[in-house]
Amino acid sequence: MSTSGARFGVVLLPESLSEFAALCRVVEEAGFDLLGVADSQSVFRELYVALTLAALNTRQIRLGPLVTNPLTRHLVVTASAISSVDELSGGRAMLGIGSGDSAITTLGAPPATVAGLQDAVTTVGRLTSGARIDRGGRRWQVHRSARRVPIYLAAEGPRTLELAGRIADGVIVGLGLTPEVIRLSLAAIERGARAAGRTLADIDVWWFAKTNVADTRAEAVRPIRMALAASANHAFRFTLDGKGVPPELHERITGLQRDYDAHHHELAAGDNAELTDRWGLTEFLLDRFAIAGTPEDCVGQIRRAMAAGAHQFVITGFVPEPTAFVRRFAREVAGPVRSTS
Amino acid sequence: MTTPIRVHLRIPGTSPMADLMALIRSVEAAGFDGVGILDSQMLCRDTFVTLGQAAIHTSRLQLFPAVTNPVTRHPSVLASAIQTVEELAPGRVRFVIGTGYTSASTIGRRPATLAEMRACIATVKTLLEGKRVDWGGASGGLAYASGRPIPVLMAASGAKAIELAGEIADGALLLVGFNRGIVQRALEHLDRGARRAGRRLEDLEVIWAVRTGTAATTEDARRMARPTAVHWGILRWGGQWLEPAGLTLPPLAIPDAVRQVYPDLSHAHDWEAAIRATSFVPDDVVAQLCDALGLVGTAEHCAARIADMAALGVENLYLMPFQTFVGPEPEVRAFRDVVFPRLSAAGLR
Repeated sequence: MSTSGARFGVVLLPESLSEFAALCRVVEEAGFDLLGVADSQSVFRELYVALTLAALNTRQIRLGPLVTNPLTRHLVVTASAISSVDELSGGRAMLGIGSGDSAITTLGAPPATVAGLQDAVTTVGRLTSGARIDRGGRRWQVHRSARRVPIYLAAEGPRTLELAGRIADGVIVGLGLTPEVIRLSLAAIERGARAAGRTLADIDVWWFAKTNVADTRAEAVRPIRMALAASANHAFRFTLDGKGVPPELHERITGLQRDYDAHHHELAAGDNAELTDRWGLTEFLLDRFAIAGTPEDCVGQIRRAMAAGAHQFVITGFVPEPTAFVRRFAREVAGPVRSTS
Repeated sequence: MTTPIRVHLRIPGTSPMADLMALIRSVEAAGFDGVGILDSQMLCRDTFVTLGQAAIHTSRLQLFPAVTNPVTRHPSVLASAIQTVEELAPGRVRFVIGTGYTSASTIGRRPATLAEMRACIATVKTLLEGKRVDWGGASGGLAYASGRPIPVLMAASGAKAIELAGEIADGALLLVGFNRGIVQRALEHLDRGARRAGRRLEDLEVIWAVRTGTAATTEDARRMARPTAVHWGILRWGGQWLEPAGLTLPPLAIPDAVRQVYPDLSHAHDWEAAIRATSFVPDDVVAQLCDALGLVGTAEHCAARIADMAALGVENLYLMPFQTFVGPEPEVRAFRDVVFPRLSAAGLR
């Protein structure tokens, strides 16, 4: 893992396939290191068909689900599908997996437990390596690619961050980007890594950021308020304890969670955009979860995070014009950050 | 004017992706009407990854999973996946679902019950129509359902399953056999199901799944067909299709070794070993089973059989080469070079 220079990945929502392939090419040309595709079958195009398009339209960038879940597909199907994408992309796949957000809640189902996540990370990882696993009276095995596909755990709390440090190849940290949150997250990952005889440097850590860049801060923030609401809904849904949230905000966050509509998950035109203002949380959520504002604002926010120990950022392309956004972010934010980091 | 015969071919995702796409393009060039992509997550590459690529690499072929199941993916994921493939190949996609065979058995799950099939098919159809489904605790739809129809077909082999397909699906992929008596009996069941829903047989799309093996001689083709012929004719069919097929088999003691083949006789990885395991069945019995089951013999024989069956209204075929996990290149050549030209000459294509 690089500990100095900044690297950037981007998550795309396959809201339509007509421009998706071209967008994937733009992401690669813009110099991103990781291309993630969201998995929420009721809201977006299907994950593995979208990843097929992404693989066919890129040459070098790493790609995978950001993030899938262990519940809507059998683990062997997930292992088989990501191995297929790995083969198709010439060994560029990664698998981001978490407890399940809108893919699960739109079905009225509970998310995966920590034990379920642990099983998923180890089982899918082993299956992609070609291992046979005795389960359910049968021997599970998949058509493997040429290699084991690395598994990244999406984590928003101390227990899952520790689990990631213990068993995953990498982690997508969704707990926030403030220096305090970065330090507590890294400490949790490191505890897990040490418990498994590893070090923090063995874990590929990426920081998830709700992102937009515009000529003014207000213009940048307006289109991503639904994404900030999604972070408040997701990162704190099991508990607010141990997550560095001021106690006076707890009631407002649970209020926002009550009002959140998973069917409008990450959709700019949906009802969730109003929630951050309604509950007086916009500024808190921006500071905590976002890289958003003018290019200079964004560079400043990234430098603050880097000073606290974060170096790899997965930004969201959840904006009305993702192609223009990806190009502008690469040119006016990532470029200046890299040249000075 | 007779309706033209349409022929689809099964594609196993067992070879590298680049080879798979070359094969699918060659199937399109050979004149086939469509391909069904196996869905068996332990044995094949992912069905929907393969279908997505096939959508991009072809321009005319009909595409469908053959067959998917309600066991390994949530119905909302199934609807999402087929809708997404359809977006890449508008008007060229079908959804074919069965109870789950190797996809369920290899992970220690039982195939879906008919009640589960009924529920899953209803759910997928509702989602593809752009309507909401009550999940119990939440309700929702597929936000991007195109509104273009995606036919939902149920794969069925038994009487009750065929009737259910007739009752609830847009059509049926019938894996029953390929002779006059079997076809007539299967259509009776399908009609019974259709009537239960106030529909007619003519309202349904029927695809006949036909086990196929071509070779230079009839003897070679029948020898290669042994594992599948014995598996379906003796181990699985029971009395259900033998009687309509007009077959009376001598009593046969089934050796234990036959049941040890992984994952089963008709899906054996070691085909020669599977052929040896069927030595308890005499050649004349295998010959009868082959003729009742499907298209087994020389390419010329297959063309003549298809023309015979066309007279019964069997006009939509899905070829299943005997070795499930071996590429169908011999069948591609046989149909391109012999069967399709003969059917064309007979006014059937």
